[in-house]
Amino acid sequence: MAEVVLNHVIKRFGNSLAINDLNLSIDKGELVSFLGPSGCGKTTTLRMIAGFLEPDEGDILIHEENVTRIPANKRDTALVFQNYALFPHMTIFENVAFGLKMRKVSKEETRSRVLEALSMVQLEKFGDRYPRQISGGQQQRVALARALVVNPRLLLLDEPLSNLDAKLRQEMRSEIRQLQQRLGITSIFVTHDQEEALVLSDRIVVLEQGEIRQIGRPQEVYDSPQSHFVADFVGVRNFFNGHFESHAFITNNGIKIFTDMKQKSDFKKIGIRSNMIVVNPNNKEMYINTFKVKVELITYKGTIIELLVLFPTGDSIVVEMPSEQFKQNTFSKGDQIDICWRPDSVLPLSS
Amino acid sequence: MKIKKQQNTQAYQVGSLIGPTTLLVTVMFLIPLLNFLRNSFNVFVPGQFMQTAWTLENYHKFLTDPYYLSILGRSFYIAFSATLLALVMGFPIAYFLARTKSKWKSIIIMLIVFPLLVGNIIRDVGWISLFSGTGLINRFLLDIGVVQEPIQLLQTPMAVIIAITNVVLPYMILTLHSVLERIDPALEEAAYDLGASRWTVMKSIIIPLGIPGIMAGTLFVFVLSINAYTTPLVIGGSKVQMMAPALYSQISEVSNWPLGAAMAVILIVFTLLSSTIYLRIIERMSMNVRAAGTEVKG
Amino acid sequence: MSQSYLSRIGSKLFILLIFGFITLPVFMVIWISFFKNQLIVFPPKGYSTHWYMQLADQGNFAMAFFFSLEVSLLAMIISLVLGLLSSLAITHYEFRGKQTLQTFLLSPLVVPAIITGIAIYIFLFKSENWLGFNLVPSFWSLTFAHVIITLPWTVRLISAGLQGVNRSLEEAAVDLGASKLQTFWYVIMPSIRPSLVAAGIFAFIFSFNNLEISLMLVSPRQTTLPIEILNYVFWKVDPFIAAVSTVQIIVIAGLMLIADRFVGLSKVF
Repeated sequence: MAEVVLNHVIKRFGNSLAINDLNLSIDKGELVSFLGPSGCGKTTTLRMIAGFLEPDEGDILIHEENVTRIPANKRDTALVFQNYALFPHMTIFENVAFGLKMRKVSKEETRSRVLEALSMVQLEKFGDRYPRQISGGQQQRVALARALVVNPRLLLLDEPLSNLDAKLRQEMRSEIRQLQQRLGITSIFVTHDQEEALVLSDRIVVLEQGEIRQIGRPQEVYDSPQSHFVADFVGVRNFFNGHFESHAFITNNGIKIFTDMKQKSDFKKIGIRSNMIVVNPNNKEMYINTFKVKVELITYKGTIIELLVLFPTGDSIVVEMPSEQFKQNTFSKGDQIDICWRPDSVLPLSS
Repeated sequence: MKIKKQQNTQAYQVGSLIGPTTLLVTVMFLIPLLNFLRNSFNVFVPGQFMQTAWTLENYHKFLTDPYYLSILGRSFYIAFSATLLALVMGFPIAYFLARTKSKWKSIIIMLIVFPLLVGNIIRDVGWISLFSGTGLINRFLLDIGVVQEPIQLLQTPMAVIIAITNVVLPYMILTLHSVLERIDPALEEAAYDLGASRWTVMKSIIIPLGIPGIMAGTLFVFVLSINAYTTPLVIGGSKVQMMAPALYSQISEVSNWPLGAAMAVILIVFTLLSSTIYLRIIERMSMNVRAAGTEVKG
Repeated sequence: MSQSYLSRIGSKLFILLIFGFITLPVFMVIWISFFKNQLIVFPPKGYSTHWYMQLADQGNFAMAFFFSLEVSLLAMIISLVLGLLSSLAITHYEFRGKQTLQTFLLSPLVVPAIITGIAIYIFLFKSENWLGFNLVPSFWSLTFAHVIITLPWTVRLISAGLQGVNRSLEEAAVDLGASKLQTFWYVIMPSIRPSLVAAGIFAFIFSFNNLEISLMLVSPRQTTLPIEILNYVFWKVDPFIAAVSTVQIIVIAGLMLIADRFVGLSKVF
């Protein structure tokens, strides 16, 4: 049974359409990410679910109850804010206890539940401190504890990790995921970071201009993005415009690329991941797609080397190769190399 | 339906929050003000108080009588001088405050704000003790032998200008400070690094970027100065009359409400007018500067 | 090198001079209040505190002081309450004509106070005939006239305070189940306490110092301290009036120190 349902939701700001006919259902215990660039409507959607915005049309159902017109303070959702929004004049304990106080929970029960929530995020010793006295990562944990202590039916996270440094972000990422799975709490996670979405989610919803572009498990979205926008967002860097002739794709400049398309299709665009391209393989006969290109730029990036290569037609693409392989296979800027990829690496995209 | 109802509750909430205040300001400020200014079109009949009318007689009287015009002219001249003085004195202080990293900064700001909070009448007591015939300044001048007789300092325009400058200077400093503080010190460092002198940095970086502050500060201070009441009354007396005390005496002593009201209108309109002209001039000047800038670039 | 050193000393000196100029009149008042002489003559014949001893005997100054205190405290409370309510509307609601209304509430700052005072007097005087009961001079009309000039300060300071409250804090409270009133009480109020204190103190000071608004609204028997001082100054300026003034200076200095504790003074203006 779906725990959260968005039914033909439309939201306008003045004359501009922020959310255009959004339909989505989320299962109980699922963690769904809203992924998209800023302004795509992901936060707007989250705020409508939380109850801070009212949709102009359509309904929002939580646990089969229509909550569209129910104010935020009467909804069984808990939001973790991007800036944590910890009350600066309250101690950590008081912050976490706030939701329980509003629900008129008794003193003793509040105490035990707050301590339990704090121990869940390993902060049981910090109850007497004020938010400014703890680190950013700890503040993040307090915000999480404050949201979870009220046992919400739905946990909403609004880019909660964007204010942390890279290392801490990875730590918190797995911590949130573990906690979410342990508690089995239905969650929505808003982010613009594709890696975050891929690692955390059960399903990813990719949004652009207030519309859903793709929904799927992380692997689905990563392996077979359906449009240029989604492909770009999950890190595909090489695109060709052209048309299909049976199972081969002919680019506008006349490059012929073989694909594993079974039947005729009218996609006008394809994408190829940089890491799916092989440089100077010993067995280049094995690849159907083999091209002679000129190396234009070599960029060292630690474990990988990034090459910008130029087709005789003038098209350029980016190729990634492992640094180890580059050491054995020396060439330099201006040299001719062979690049190859398999037909099934080609991603047909709608524009 | 629901949205309609929601709008109604919102209107109700806004109304009950801001309604009482709006009502008070309307009843105690707007209506009285309009009512008072309306009097400026009435006719003053000596001994008979006034008659309701629609006439420009009072304005005519003010604008053709050299005595009244001299009051307006003097008010402008004194306000203008005080503003200029306050700018010249305030700018270095504001700049110093904007750049200092001294731990005394908050105490310095307190020292600047404090006289402003003390009230004009009390500062005027201080000025009188300095300016009067037996005051400190005359004593000093007599002692060093510059003058043989005490000179007249009180009831001179200069004394009024100095006292008003003293009143408005804190406002000037605080306004300038808030703008100068936002100018990135790196810009100055860059200019020094490129070989600019202190004066060039001041002239080509600080002052142009400080223009909004200078405009806001001078305008604010000018309005305060031209509206001054207590200081011209106490320091200037009957010899250095300014608009605010003069119109007050029309009302309270002469009981000529229509002329007093006309003077009030003239003061308000004159202030607005000179502020607008001033803003226009500054605008044109800064546009010329910008045009010159693009020329150099092109 | 030495030239830039000299110019640095020069600019320091210039700044010091201007500071001297700013504080000069207040300093003079305090200095004179300790003169032994009857009249202000330099140099003084000696110093004493006997003018302060006489303050208690001068009933009208004490009365004016307490009358001012009463008016200013009440004006402060009223303008705080009204300022808080209006600021909540301004910062938390979107409605048509908001900008205009905001300008309107601040407009008493622009009109010369002496004109506002006269206008209020004339209006109340006329309404008196029409209503049939006494309006001027009265304690309440004086107090509300003071509210007109203190209100812009409370609206400005409290609005600024409310704008400084992070909106997501309020949303977090609502999200955790707090009602509008609970959010106000538990989250907004504690966050704006400093601006409330500052607004209150400044409302008090500006009311306490005000002379122009009060001029026409006081009665000869009940005047405010600044007017009592003004009337005395017309007659003569002597160490006694300097002592009276010094008392006011001390009261205001104390209040200013408290205000500075809560918000930096430079943020107020």
